[in-house]
Amino acid sequence: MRARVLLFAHLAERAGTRELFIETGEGTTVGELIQKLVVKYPQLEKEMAHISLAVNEEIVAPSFRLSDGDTVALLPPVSGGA
Amino acid sequence: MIVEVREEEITVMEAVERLQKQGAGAIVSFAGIVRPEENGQTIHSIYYEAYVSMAKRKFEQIILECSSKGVIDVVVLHRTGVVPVGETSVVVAVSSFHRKEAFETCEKIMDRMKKEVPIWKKYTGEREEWHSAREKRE
Repeated sequence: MRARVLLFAHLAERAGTRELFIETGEGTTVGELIQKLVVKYPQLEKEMAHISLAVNEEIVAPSFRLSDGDTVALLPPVSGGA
Repeated sequence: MIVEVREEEITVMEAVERLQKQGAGAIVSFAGIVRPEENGQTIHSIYYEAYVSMAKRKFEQIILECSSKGVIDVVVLHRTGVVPVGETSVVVAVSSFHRKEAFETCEKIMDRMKKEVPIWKKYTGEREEWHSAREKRE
């Protein structure tokens, strides 16, 4: 199956991309997907302790199991407003 | 309710005018303005990045959960892109039958926005820095 991954703010800058696709096995959890991601982008590894995860725009735990076509967003600590 | 996350300029008056058309007894509005200094450093502007579709959904959810009895309607406007010092980056306006619920709801929406809505800011000035990258060091 294939998951779409979105990166924002300093994560996108460090990775040099805002969107990427990861092929992975059926039933992969979001946490396992993140482990795959940091193998490809080791510069993100230290940031992973500070992010929230969203799947299809809903916040999920790392144990959440993905389905084909899901969009996973890595959300740094938010800072809207002035 | 009206929720917009957009690059174009936003104003309190725009939000208030949208609520006035609905015959409210009270309108409370909040505007967040970009300050010239952040943590002792001079800045020129703030660059806002949003996960726009999720930010809109999250705002809508927060508005529904925060609107106490007596609230008639809510307008939330948040800018993206470069917002220079002195310009408005966020507006929350609440109309209600009486002032108390409008004040309370406005504050609750702002408090939850700061914690939950996927919008990030980068200070630009003497040096550039993402707030999201700095926060974890504090």
